Amino acid sequence: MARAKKNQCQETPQTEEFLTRVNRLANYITRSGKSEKATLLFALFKVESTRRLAEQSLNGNLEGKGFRIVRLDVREYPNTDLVQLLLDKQTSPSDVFYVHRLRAGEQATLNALNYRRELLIENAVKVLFWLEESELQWLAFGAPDFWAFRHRVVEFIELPEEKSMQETVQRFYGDTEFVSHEELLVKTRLRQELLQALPKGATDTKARLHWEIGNLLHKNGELVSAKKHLEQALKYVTRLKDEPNRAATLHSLGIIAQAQGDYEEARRLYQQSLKINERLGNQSGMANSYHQLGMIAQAQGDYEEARRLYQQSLKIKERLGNQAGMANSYHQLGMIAQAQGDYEEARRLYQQSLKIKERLGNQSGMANSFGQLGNIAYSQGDYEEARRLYQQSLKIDERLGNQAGMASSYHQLGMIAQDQGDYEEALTLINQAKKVFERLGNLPSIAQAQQQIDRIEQALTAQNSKPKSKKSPAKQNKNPTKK
Amino acid sequence: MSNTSFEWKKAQDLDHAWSNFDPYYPLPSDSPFYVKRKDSPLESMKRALLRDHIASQKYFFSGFMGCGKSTELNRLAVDRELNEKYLVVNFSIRDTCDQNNLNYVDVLVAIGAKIFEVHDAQGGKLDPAIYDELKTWTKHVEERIREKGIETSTEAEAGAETPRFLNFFWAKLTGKIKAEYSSRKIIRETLEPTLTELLSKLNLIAAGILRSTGKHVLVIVDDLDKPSVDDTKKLFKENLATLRQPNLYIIYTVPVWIFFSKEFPEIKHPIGYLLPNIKLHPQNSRTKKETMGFQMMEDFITQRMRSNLIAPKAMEHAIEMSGGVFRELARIMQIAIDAAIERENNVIQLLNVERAVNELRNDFRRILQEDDYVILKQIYARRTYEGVDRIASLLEGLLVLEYKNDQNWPDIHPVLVEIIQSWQEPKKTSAKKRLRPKSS
Repeated sequence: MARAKKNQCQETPQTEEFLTRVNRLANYITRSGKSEKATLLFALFKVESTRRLAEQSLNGNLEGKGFRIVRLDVREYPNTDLVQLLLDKQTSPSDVFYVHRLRAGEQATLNALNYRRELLIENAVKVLFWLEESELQWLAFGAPDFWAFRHRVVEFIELPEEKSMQETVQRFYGDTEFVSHEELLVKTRLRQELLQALPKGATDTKARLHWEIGNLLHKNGELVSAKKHLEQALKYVTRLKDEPNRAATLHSLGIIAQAQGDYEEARRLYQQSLKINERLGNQSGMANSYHQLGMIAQAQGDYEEARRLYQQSLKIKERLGNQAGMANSYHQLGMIAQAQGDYEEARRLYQQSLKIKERLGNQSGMANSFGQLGNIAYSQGDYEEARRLYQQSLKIDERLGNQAGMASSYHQLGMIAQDQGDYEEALTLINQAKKVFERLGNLPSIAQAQQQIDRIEQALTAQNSKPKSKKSPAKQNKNPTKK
Repeated sequence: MSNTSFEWKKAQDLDHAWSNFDPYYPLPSDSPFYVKRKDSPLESMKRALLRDHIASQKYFFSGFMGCGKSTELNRLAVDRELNEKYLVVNFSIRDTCDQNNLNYVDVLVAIGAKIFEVHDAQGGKLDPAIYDELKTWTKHVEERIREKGIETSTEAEAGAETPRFLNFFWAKLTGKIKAEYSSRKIIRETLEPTLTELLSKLNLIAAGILRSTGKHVLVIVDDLDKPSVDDTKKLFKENLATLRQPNLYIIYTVPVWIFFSKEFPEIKHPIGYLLPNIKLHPQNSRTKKETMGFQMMEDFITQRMRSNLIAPKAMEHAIEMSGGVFRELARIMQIAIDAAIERENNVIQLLNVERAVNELRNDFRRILQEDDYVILKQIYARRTYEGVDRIASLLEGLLVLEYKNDQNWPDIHPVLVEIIQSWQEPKKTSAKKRLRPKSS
């Protein structure tokens, strides 16, 4: 099934780079520093250790740029006019205030912010509010006019395993958002150039670059070259005795094997990776391994084992607060329920997954969810709902330029048209899908589309050889792809 | 301070563009960033002001958060025709009062102070007899205030020369009202029992100006839409009559929810004017475009930066998602620009705008309450207020936006559509169960 294949949620590290978000804050402050303007930023966090880490990184970034950082713990100024306090403490527009524990300022602070917001702007005050979610709500409701002036909210809501978070700060992680073909090429090229320019030694950097190139190539569907780079990376990390990265590389190699349909090899690699992660106590790595092992079991039709593994993975992610990962688990559990015919449960799980993806802004993930929800509606014979959902999915994929996703949607919309007797429309759509599959070199899907086309053509001939029917049902369903 | 150094220059690159889309500047009247609103009710208010009236008129003006109220008022204040007929006094209440604790006495004192200040600054002179009367009154007020414990002596500080003396007095009075709660209370208690006196002085000043210049006084009081619900009710309900008393033409800004509340029956057309959001679609279609609205929003962007800094599709999406609210568009643009810079793009792409929209959506999601979903879904489906109560808070939070035809109508903020569409009460199992393999 074309759709099912595309909709698998691979497990890869982190959503958006921690450092990217830190830099975002720094860039706002730096840029408004240049133009001597005010900055009203909000950093949202759940646990203090993450917050501290973000603060440290931010300080590092702002260092040497001529800013003076002033920390303000509002608990030391209970029920105070915060605006006045900031103005009093400001010695120059290059002061950057970190405001903590805003809520301790109570009503007086809310009022000051709401009614005297302009003073902050006029005096080019730069403030970063470190807020917990409830504080942010409290502020948005209590001081709506001030809230309307905000520049931006940046989230640091991960619940860290302290260690891996530290690592993230020091390193680059490829993001898992859908990236266009062009962008992948640019990223890959850059790393390849870097690799060539590197002097002897620097093995760790080289390992990293090979690993990243491997992952990028995989995203681009170039499995063979991806594998080469990953094997090179594996060689390096083994030489370095860098166990965490060896686990990560084995994992990536497993994904390649899985994509090539070599499930036994994939399982072997995931288990190797799991073993290392268990030894290191790397929880999130373990969760990833369980997830992928679940996918193998699923692919081999062992649904009970797959469910067990997904749930094991989910449990860890919940504990770690890994939202993106949870969304993936729900999605896969939904597929299991669907495969077992429990559509209500499947729908519930897809929706749960969708909700998280929406919040995280994971567009391609949302397209997947819509597609799966469409499949459920389709299975239940609710063609209108199915069409609506496929089109929703299609719309996102079109925007992202996600060819594979578009092809799946065309295919499914074609199936609906066929079921409803609109053979011409069905033919157009499935041909459209086939063309994309051909471009992507997706052999099983091409074959499948071709079979479908043959069947429709047969039906069409049969229909035409019959004496003219009064009205074909086709007429009622023209152009299902149109909005 | 620093925003005086801000240059209103069209951006040629993204770095500069970023700074042109701050979500907090109302534009000064001469800003090149200004987008002419072809649908502004201030046009009709202006026509009303240019007509001859038997008595001075009071108007009430409001608009949705971020749709350009202050910018429009700033423009109105420098309108040539109006300035020929009126001495225009435009000020923000936050310059003279504490918005957090405000009553009608404060507002009246602020009006007096500002008229005096503007007239004096323009070199205007009043009849000496008027100065005398004002001076006597001020001394009297000072005396009473002094009895209650505030030590002031304008004469000692400012000398006896009359306009200077009076200017100083008013400034001092508003200064105390603004800054110190205890003095504010004393001043209110002093002036309130003899309110007619205060009103009479205001009228005297207005009359003097009319005589010496031939102009009526038009006062624009901006930012009166911010005070708390309680303060607002006291101002515009309990003391509305007093606020309408001075023989001055006055435009009071009011909170937008007043227009949707049954408690303020008097503040309606033709004396109430509401600046609507810019209409991007007609009421009966979300796909058909209102060209004029899109054009205005496009102007908003291209007057602030070179138009080829943004891909056409990206611009269209940004406009669409702004819901026709300028500040929302500014915020979307600024985040999108940052996202573009982050990805080292030289041109803002659709993906950058989508990222911005997504952040806005998250900001909303964080403040949405359970029961908001039900109401929003209802409004999304019907585009009327029918059967919806509690509309005020939704409008205030920009969850719901209002547009204007012959009648006004609401829609939900376009950023919320995705949330509302995918939100559903758990669906009942459909009876139709047709299992059929999806493909071969």
